[in-house]
Amino acid sequence: MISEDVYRKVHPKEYLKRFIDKDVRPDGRAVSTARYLRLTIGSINTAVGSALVRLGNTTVLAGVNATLIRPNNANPDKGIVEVSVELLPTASGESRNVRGEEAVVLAEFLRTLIIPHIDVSTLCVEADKLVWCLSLTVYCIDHDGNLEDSVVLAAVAALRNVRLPTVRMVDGDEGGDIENGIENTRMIDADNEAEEGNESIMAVVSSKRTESLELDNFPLTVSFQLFCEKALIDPSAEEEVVCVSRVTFIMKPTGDMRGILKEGGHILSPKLYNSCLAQSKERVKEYMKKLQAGS
Amino acid sequence: MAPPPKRGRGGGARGLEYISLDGLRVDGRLHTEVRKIRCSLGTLSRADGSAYYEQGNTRVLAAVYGPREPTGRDFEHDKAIVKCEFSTAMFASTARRRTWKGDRKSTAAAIVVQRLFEGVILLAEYPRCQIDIYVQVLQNDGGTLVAAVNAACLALINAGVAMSDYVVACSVGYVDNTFVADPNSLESGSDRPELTLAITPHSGKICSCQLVSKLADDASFESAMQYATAGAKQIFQVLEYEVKKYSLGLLDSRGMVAL
Amino acid sequence: MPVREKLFIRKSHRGNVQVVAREHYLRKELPCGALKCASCEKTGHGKAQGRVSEASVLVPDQEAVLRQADLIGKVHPALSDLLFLQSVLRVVRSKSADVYEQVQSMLTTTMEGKRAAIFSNENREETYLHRSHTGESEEYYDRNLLIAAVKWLNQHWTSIGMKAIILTDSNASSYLEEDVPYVTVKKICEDHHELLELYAEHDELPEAMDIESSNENRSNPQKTKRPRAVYPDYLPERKAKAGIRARRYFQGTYHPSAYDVTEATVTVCLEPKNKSKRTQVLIVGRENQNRSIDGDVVVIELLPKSEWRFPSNLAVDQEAADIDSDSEEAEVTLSGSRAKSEKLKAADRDPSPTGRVVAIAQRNWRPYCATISEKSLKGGETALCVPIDRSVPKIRVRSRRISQLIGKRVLIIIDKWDRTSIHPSGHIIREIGPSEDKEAETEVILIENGIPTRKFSDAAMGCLPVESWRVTEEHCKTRWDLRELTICSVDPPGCTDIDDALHFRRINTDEVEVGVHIADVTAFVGHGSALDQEASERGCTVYLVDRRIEMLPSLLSGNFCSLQGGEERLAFSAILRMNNNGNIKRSEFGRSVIKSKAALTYEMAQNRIDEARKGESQGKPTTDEVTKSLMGLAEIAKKLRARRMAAGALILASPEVKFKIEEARDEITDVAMYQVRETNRMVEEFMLLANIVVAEKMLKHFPQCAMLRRHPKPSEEMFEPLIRAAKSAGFDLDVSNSKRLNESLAEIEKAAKARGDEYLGTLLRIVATRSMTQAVYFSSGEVSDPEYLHYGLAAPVYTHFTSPIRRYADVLVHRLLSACLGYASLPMSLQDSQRMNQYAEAINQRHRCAQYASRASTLLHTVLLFKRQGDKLEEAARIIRILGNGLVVLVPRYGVEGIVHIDDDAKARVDETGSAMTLKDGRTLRVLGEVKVRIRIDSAPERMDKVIYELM
Repeated sequence: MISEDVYRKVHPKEYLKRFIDKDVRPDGRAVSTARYLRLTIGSINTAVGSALVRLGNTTVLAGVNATLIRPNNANPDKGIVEVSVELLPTASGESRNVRGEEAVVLAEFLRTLIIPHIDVSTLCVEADKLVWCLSLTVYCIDHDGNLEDSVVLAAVAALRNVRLPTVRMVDGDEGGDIENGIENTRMIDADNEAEEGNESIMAVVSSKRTESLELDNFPLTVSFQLFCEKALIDPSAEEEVVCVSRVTFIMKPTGDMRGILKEGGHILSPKLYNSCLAQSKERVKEYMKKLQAGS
Repeated sequence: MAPPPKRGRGGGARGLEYISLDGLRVDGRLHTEVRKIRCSLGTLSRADGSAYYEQGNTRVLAAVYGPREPTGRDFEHDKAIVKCEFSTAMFASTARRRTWKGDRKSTAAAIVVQRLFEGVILLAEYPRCQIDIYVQVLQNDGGTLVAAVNAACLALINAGVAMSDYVVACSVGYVDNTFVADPNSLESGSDRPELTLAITPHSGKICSCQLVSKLADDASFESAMQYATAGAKQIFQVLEYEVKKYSLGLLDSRGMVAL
Repeated sequence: MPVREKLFIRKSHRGNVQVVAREHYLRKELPCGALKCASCEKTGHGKAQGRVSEASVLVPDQEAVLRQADLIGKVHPALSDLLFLQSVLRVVRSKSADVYEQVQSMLTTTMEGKRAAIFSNENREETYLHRSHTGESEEYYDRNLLIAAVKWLNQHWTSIGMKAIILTDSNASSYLEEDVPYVTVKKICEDHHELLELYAEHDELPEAMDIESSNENRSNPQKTKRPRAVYPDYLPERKAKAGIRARRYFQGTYHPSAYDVTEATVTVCLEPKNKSKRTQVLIVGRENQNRSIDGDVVVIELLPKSEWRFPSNLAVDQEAADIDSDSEEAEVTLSGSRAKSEKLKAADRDPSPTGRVVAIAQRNWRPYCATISEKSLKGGETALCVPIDRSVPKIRVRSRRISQLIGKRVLIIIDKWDRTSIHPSGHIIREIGPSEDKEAETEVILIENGIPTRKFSDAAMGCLPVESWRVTEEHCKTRWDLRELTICSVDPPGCTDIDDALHFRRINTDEVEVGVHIADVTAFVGHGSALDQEASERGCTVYLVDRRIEMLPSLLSGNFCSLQGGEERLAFSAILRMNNNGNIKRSEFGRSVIKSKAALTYEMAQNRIDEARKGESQGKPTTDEVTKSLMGLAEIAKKLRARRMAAGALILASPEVKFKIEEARDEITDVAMYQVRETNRMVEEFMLLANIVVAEKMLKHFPQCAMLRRHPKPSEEMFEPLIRAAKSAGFDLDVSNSKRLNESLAEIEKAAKARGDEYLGTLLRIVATRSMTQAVYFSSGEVSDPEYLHYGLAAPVYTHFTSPIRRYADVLVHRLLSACLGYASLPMSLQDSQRMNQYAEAINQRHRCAQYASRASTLLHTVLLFKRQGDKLEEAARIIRILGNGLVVLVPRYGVEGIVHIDDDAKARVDETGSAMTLKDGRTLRVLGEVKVRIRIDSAPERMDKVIYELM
């Protein structure tokens, strides 16, 4: 007779199956119950926008840095958004290579979802001269499954939290107007010494942060693991290891479905699909409640 | 020598006044005081031991994995090996230059933490094992190494790794010809001396002592050590209180004591 | 302790916008500043330990401190108890470092009848206000902090019967609204008239002005006419900065021309591509100069090319340029004469760009020494002050005691310069003394040249060794023991700070050993010590005619460091082995202990040598060791000198003369030329040699941060006046290199002497010296190798090592050399080339000031001498430059120079090259030519006595 702990380690699949057969999950949830979501917005005060998501034990921190840069020639009137995801060693205790690979996959996933929804033309201060470059970095601090949903939610919350200082280009002659217009402004100069003969750029940044991003219609995701003809909403790390097949529902904030992501694996029956969709809609409501409460 | 400033009545003073006429530092502390410390144990689920540690605006997270099977090829047949990784979040720093994992400063800090704990962990208890210490700086306002050591100490305690004593670190800066305990990012600069001292508080032994830049001729090393030791003792009180609180909480959750 | 977060947005140079979070700790126990307060901590933590005790305490606001610092600092019963708030001091410090220093000394020193305390209101829990991140302006926030603090203090102090009252110097309406007690500085001054002269006038806030003018309106309707603006308005800072970026405006430091105050230059960089290329822009006329004062950093705009012109060659001083009334007459005549002189200009050069000042980036106002002009006093309390510095305009001041101050030197400070006022207005800080008084005038010289006259601080004096300090056996063990060597020093008579001594020893028939022993100052002055700090601020010992202001306390300079005869002293020795021709075979450096056998004067040494030579020629061998040594040195020195001349070293000259001072009356009775003896040259030769050897050694070890001294090679242009001058005297000068220059100067001197003109050679050398730039200290890492050259000495590298007692540069060189030899590690701050260069720049600056001060002192004493000799002084003078309306002449006998004004009526024309002037009476005056001048002293109480030269 082997103990439960050993059995869990040696035969994880069998172990999980025994639970799921009884419609219960190892952590005590029902198959259709998601973990408790905690969302803290604006906790990192050195970033222009930030959010901390805790989904059960899974902890994800997203922060946004802002830089004023010269736009690239192809899109002179568009700002730039950089997205990266890092899986911290504290999260899983795995080596750098393994983590790196997983982080790249997550970053790509997040990028394709988020970027189309940011109107980069609002990040333009003045075409051809000065635009904002936002770098969104998501750190996975504790990994207990379903990083996908947490990462997307944290990213959305952090971006919605972004407050940029007001920036105005100053031309020599209107300097006086600005002086009277904005208090607590300071002069900055964004020109690089290296740039040859280019007209130098001057901008005024106010120390008040008012400008928020226009980020309507952002995406939210709800993931399921398919196991024994059942869909486990919000899988934990233990469940993710055992299951191979995963479905992610991409939702609109309104609760409508925008898309679905499924990479092979088990077949999703229409019945299961409908049930998942219904669960997703409920879950999105929960997300929205937290998002609105936090901001 | 400061070249004689030639300035008019109009010119404002440059730089900061690090110690005010009333003896207060830039943030209002006295020269012997350390910043406000907050910490908690067991904050991460996957890690064997973890701690969140805040020293003023410097915030770090430490996780300990192990003792476990060596992940790489290295191991010692009669004792455990300690590995440490140190990284800084993108948005952590208010300083101009960013640091990230793998750069010179982080590597140096990682080695300090590793060496430090190799001396305190009872390695012989865990032959053929590896203990990983991961330190993540979430926000940097000076003294990241100090915070890293203190957080790692808490995380190791949380992981139940056998150690001969606590390890508590504290740094001492030197501004306006005065020593200041636990300098923040404003008070520490590349051109100013900074002493980082780690001690075992019960035995009072020195585990590690790092001096960046050179002390001014009239500043004695001994008094710098005194400041650091006094600062470390202040920090130790907070750590010990937190560990006791956490342990009592554990006992309580198992119904072993009534709080 | 509760903590608050303070958030800032910062934009880094790279364009990164960062949110900066700083902690802010609040405390409960900080002292409130009242002596009797029982609930707060008794002693503070910092340097400011003063406490207030009177029943009513003044709490100055930032405007009061910034504008009325001198008044607030006055010891007066109405201003006996002051409480400074931390929030106020923070603003004061950011706006004016000088005022902050004033307050700092008020807070840290105890004065009879004055109590000043600090209250850290921003870190005290009860008086801290959180600054919301989106709303209020900084000023509004600071004002609220002040109000909150005063309100709390009044509540806190009720039990001890004290009251805090805001002392303000601006519109007090916000205090009125908030119902906090306040008093204006003006009110205090009105109640205590004796304070009024210290009151600094300033612009009233617009609202206040409106009220005033409406009052006046009723009583006197004519007065409401706004005063006419004399000067154009300044651009707002932002606009100016934007213009600088767009390269429409340029920024530079403003310097009025030395001869003509209506003309000034600003050196700017007009081409962004070539940053090292600097152009001098002329700023002509008062309107274009727009209230700039010497040293201000100004923003200028270039005028159209059609208005570009040549620098003037007129001599116009403030007096002539000044217009006390509003009449434009003087201006017209000025420009009239300028137009005439313009035509005289050579057409082969391009005109200089001209510009006008559109904004002031930073004022460089300092306290000025001045005298009240009696002329301007029209019965009221205001008068014009004439600053000693001719480039500074007259300053309007107001004082009740003004009639008592006539004829006295006062220290004044400029408060403001409105566009409606021709002159800036200021206030008197203190009285220096009666003009023409030697003490007062000397103090004026020192103040004007920024020479610190204060005593050494206690901390610095604390670094000195005890009086009973002696060289010990320990010293002898760790250093070379050279006490047995026949070392002697040769210095001018009366020299107490002997920093060098020499020895000579024959090793064998081919080799000799020469030792240059320099006082080891660094053994007493540790790097970074308070004494070192103080010495570095002083930079060098300043020699005036009747006193010297020492760089090091006299215990060191006159005793322990001075290599006195018969005393054991610590030294830094350079031991040079050379062959009989003076070629160095080996050089060694080391710390040593020496015992000088004799401290000789140049004269004594010369006599010894002369006698010995005479004796030897008669077959009597010299037996005295010291004399033998001197003779050996003199022999080698001759060879060294010959070799140096062959390499192209220049013999330069200065018109300086020596005063004969009658000790009893402390009066100067006569002047004499410096006598240069063989021994002067001998000592000089070995000092130069030691300096060169040390420079080479230092450069080898520290190629990046050696403290060197260079003398740049003059450009062809710079020699032009010299060549023209020589030509007008009928000689051709070869300036192709220093060797040729020296040779042709010598040839001319010889030829002139043959013609019976003894002085021409010296005169030409003086002009030659003037046409070169001065030698300067620099850090080797900041300049490329070929530029290390010392042109005058024809040395590829050179430094100063031999006078550490009186020059700070030598102290640094000693430290560098110690590091070369492994005696001590090099302090961090000396390892960085840029830092080293900062030291060098600072020392250069101090040297210049010292030089100016000593020249001014000489002039002062010459004037005193002239006065004593009566009005009828007639002397031969030499013309050194011809101006459009006068001559610059040098009087060789007294070594003074000045301007002879020649009216348009007397002057016929100046020739095209500016080297000759023909007068109406037919006389032609040539550069270098001799003229007879009458010297008289024009003493007006409002300025320094002026020497007037008139052509006879």
